[in-house]
Amino acid sequence: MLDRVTKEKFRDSLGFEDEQLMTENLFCDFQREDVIDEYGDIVEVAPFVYEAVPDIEAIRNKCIQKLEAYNEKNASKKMNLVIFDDALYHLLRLTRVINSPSGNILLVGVGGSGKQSLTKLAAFISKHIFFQISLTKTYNENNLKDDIKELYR
Amino acid sequence: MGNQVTFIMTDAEIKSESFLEAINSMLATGEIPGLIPKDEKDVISLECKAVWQKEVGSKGADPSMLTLWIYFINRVKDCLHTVLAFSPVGNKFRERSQKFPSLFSQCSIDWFLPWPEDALVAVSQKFLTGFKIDCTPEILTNLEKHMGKCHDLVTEVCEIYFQRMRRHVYVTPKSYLSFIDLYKDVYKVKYDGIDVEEANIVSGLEKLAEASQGVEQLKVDLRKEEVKLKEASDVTDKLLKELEIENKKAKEKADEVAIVAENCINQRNQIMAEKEQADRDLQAAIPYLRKAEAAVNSIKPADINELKGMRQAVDTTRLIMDTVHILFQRSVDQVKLKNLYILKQEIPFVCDSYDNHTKNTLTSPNFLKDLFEFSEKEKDNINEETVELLQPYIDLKTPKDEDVFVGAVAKKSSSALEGMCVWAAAMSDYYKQSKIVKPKLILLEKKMAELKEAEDNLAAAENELADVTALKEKLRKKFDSQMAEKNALQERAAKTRKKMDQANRLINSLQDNKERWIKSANEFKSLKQRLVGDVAKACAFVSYCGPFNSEFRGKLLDEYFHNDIISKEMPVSEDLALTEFLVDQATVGQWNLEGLPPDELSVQNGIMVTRSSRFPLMIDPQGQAIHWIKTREPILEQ
Repeated sequence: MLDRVTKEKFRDSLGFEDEQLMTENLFCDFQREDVIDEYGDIVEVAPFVYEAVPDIEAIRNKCIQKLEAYNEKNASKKMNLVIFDDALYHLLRLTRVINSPSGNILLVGVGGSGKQSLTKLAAFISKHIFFQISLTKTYNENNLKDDIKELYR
Repeated sequence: MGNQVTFIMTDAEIKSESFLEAINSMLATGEIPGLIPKDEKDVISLECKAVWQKEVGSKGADPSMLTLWIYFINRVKDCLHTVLAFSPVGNKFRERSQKFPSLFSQCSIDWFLPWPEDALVAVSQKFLTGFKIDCTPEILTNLEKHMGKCHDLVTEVCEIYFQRMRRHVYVTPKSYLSFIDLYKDVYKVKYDGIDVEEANIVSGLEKLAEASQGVEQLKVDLRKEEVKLKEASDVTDKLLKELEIENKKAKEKADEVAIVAENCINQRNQIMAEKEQADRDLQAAIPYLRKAEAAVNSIKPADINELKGMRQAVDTTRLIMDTVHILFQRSVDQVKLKNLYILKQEIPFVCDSYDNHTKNTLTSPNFLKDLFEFSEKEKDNINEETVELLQPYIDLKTPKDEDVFVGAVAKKSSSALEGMCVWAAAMSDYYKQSKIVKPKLILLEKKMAELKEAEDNLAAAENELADVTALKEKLRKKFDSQMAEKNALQERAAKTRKKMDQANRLINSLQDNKERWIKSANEFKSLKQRLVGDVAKACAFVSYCGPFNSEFRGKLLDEYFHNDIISKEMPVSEDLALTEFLVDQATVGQWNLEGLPPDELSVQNGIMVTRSSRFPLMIDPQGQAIHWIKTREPILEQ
């Protein structure tokens, strides 16, 4: 459905071939590298620039790098992810949404399909503060509200 | 302030639907009613003022509290990114969409579709990297593909199952991951198990081969030992024969010697007795000799001289001197009658030869010495004739029948005469006595010589016997040592035989095992290869087949999984006994004891409960499972 709409609506206006439409319409905002000086300190934080992805393999490698960086930082909660094509698309979609103002997203999928893991990775890539409530036996609505309240700050 | 925040909320974290209500309102309006009290609101609003002035209004503008608050909420909305992760399974998802529309209206929706097969394959590839599987790279690739395919197949079957049974079964990527994990576990355990078994059997076979080799060696040894033993036996027998001969010889010799010795002793005893007799007899003559000696001793030179000095020798002197001459075997006068005047009586006797012969003797300076010497040395020269001649002198009696030839009578004339008289009488007596002894002594001497000869013979015989005995002893020693050697050999042979018997028995008893082992040793290689497919099948079963009924389980296992494995040309056992592959009989028996029904389906369920890497959910209308679990885990219940 999406494919069809994309094809019909954008082919003419953008001048893409069908094939290109299907494979190369990837955009994301985390392709820029941090500028790092000779001592390994970050001189300039990479700006988030939303731009087209030149090549799916390039962005896949980028994601894998980010994943490794994440695992390095969170050694106790390592994520062992396989970034296959679908996962990559989901990941890009996630980063896109959470980086837009008021961007919220509802992920629907059966258990274990990687919703949480991809979200964590996306938040990490976008340098967001990641928050997840930690459930306890006594956790209730008030706790939730308190947690949310903290997030407001 | 101003930080981008990602807030994730998953199915699992929604403890009650009221959570969603809060989220719903947050998404819809940016705030949750009653979240922040009024006074805090004001504080927050004021805190935002500087930012507002910087970003929205001019410096001098003075926004109302409400403006500021709205500004704050908008910022929160901008910065707080809520990520909701829901599962489409079940009715809840639908209900939520109706109850909390904002969840859907305010969110972009990203639908995670089932992972495509190539994604599944990529995952299995990644997880199996670095895991050692004993197969070719092609088979490994096929295995990865097969895992993905399995997942897909189950997804397909879920649809069929729903159509048939009106029951939804969902397979999730989690099942897939657990499938891969389980595969790795089971494969390793099984492979190692086979490895161990193989090593055991190979070593067992080696031991058996070693043992039979050992037995062969033992046989050779035994043969050698028996030859040696035989040799030793022969030598011993020969020695024994020799020894017997020697023994016999020695015995004969000993008997001989004994006879000789006996004879010898008898002879000696006899001779000794005789000798004793002779000695006794001889002893009887001695007193006379002593008497004679005493008599001679009693003669003093002075007396002799006195006798010499007598101008006219009295008849007594004449008579006694005659006897001395007779004893000396010197010449005397012819016998002619003459009356002797002794003891004032006339005694008819023979004429003395004093004047012609004996006077010289008496007057000879050596007379006394001669007397001594005679009694010392020449006494045994006295012969029969002398004594016969002497006899009348000694027996001479006066007409009144008084002995004339006695010391007392002689003394009257001269004390020298007394001595001479006694001497002569003693000499005569001595002769008479010694006459009896002499032949005896001669005989004795002869016999003594004989005895000596006999004793020499005996000694020679005894020497011979000693030689023979020594030889015998030597032989016996040799025999003994030979015997000891033989016994040692015998013992060793017996020991070897025993050892061989034992080894043989062991080998024979293990013969059956050996055949079985060889068979299974050959099977191991193929078993190991087939393990790739077998484990895949078993693990797919444990991971996926739980929710299905018996029919579908069988179908999945034997048709879907098996066919896919075959089509991918992976090695697999034709008729894998799944329950036996995953658990051993003893464990099943234990389960049955614990109350698990023994049917195949229940055992399969038991396997899933115990082997699956995920938590088991048991739908258990008959309470069998709960009964089993309670018996099985009594400690956990407490």
